[in-house]
Amino acid sequence: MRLNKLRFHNFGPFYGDQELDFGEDNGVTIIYGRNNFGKTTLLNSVRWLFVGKFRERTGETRANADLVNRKARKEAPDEPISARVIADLTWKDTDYILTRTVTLDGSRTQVSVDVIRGVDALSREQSQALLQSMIPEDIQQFFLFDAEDLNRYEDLLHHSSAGEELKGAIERILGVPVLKNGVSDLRELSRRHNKIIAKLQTADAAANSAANSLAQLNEVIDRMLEDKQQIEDDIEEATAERERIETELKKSEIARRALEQHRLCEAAYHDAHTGYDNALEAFQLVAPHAWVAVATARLEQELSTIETELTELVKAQRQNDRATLLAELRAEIDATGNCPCCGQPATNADHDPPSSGTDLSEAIATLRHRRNTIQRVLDSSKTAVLRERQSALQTAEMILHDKRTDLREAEEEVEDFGELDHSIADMPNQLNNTKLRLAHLQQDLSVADNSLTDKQQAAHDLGKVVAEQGGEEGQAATRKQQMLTDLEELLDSAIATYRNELKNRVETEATEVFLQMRSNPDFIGLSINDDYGLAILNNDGELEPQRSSGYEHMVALALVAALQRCAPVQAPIFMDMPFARLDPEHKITTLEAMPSVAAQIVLFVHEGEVNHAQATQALGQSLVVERKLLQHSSRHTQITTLEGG
Amino acid sequence: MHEQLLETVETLRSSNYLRLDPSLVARILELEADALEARSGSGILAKLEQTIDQALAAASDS
Repeated sequence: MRLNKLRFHNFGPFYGDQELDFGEDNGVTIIYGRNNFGKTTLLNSVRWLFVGKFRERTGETRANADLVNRKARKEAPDEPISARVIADLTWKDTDYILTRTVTLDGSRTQVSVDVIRGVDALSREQSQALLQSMIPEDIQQFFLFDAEDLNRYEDLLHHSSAGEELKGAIERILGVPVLKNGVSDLRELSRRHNKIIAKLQTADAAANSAANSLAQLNEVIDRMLEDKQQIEDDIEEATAERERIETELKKSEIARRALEQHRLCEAAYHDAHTGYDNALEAFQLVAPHAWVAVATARLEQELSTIETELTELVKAQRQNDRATLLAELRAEIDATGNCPCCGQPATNADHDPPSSGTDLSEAIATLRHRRNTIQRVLDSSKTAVLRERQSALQTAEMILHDKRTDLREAEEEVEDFGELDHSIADMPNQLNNTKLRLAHLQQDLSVADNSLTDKQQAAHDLGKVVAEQGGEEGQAATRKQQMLTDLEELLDSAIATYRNELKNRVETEATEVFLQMRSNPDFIGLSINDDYGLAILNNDGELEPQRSSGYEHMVALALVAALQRCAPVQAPIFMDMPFARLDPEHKITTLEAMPSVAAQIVLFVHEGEVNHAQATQALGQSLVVERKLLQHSSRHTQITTLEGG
Repeated sequence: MHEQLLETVETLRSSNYLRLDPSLVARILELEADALEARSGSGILAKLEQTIDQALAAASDS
């Protein structure tokens, strides 16, 4: 399947009509967006479109009514309003337009699915069946996933109920149930056929006696089948109960973590607020000098003028002082005839005494006062402090904004959980009991299966005896019974063979992708177990007993890639925050390996995980589309083109 | 239909169940693959039986 375009109408935070065009070529599409901008909603929009479910991180399903954009609802509170996801895609060389719509009309919520194949609109039943075929619900987890869920694949390494479930889904995507169902159906046809054989009229007394025995045996088999069905129903019920308890426990664990996160966010917000208040106060102390920054150039020019003027005045004042001194000396000589310095008789000077000028000291004092004032204002230490405090205030403001956003997100997450059920304390015990019951039921089923197989074999042998004596009709019945048996045996033996071949192929394909991602040269491949769990193979021939969460992540991605390559169902892969657990080096190697995971991949990341430059460098031509989520408000996110992208 | 699955079954048929017609086996797998998504209401048993009866009739005619 190739997805050409996704269109949204008032879906989640995607207000109005918006679209995500995947371009003409296959490759990697990256959607950048900060937390709470709608990345997970985009991932879920695809899940909702195909399987009708919007899965919360808690594992619960969001109500359809809550999918409609809140801003749009607020704008028309009394009118019917719809949210819609539309996919334009190509599947098996045919173009399709799939639409899922939820409409709110008062207290009524209605969901509809429409499919257009080529130019033909399909019926409701046809549409539902087609969506199931494109991405069946139980295997959608291999196409649409939150990368944080990738650690689930670790369950395959340890025999557990979760691992069993995942193994079932893996076998489902690889087509094993085709064989298993075939065996089961052919066995059922044999059983029915034996009933027909038991009614054959023969002339042979022994054959008639065998026919009677067969009829009785068929009744026993019918009862055994009813018992087996009851056990299977009980298993289904116990499995649902186990899943319910596990979901509750998971929810309580997530709620506990969310509450803890909320507490930390509150403390961080409080600290940030204190930091902001302090920075603001410090800034306000120097703020009266803020105008200096504006007047600095003018003041510096004025200061320079004053300095020049002052130099001139001081010089003139000095000349004045000298002239005054000389005039005073002359006057004394004139009066006494002696020099006032040495007391010797003085002669008349030939030249005129210098004339003294105006007293400039007052003007100089005024200028000096002005100069000092300007210098104080321009004091470089004060402007530096001002700049420093302004910068500190801006930083504190940014931190406060981030912490406020974190707190708001944490509050929303806590709100999602509502009141925690206090009965949660007893749930681990309930889970253990349910698991124990399941184990017993599985044992009962195995015993019932073995007994049934024995009885069916006996019925088959009796049927042969009867049919051989049943004339032409009996011969035809024998041939049919033989064909049914042959087909059943063939498909039964194919199950083990096919599983082995699949495991070898999955191991080979996963190893190829893993080697592209790993940087540790000691890791030379992956080794698969019977449950499709993959372990890392060291170059000393041993399996790695422990691995980091980053390597867990890479191994899981390698498995997903291998399943894509081996499965008959091909579809685009959507991954939310795929690099969150990886270090910078492995982010790049994993990004480089992405084109080999699937033909079409859509990644939802925040720019702290991977940015445009890294994506371009790592993916080259394989990077086909980049988009950015822009949040106008918590009720309105817009899908925009990436600047430079 | 999964190519590898078909190949696996055909390899086994050609070595152990030569009396089974390969096209009958392929048809049965195809019916099972088609019924995979919606078992109930698919009429799979009736379809299988019809296919087998047709194969038996064809074999007795030839």
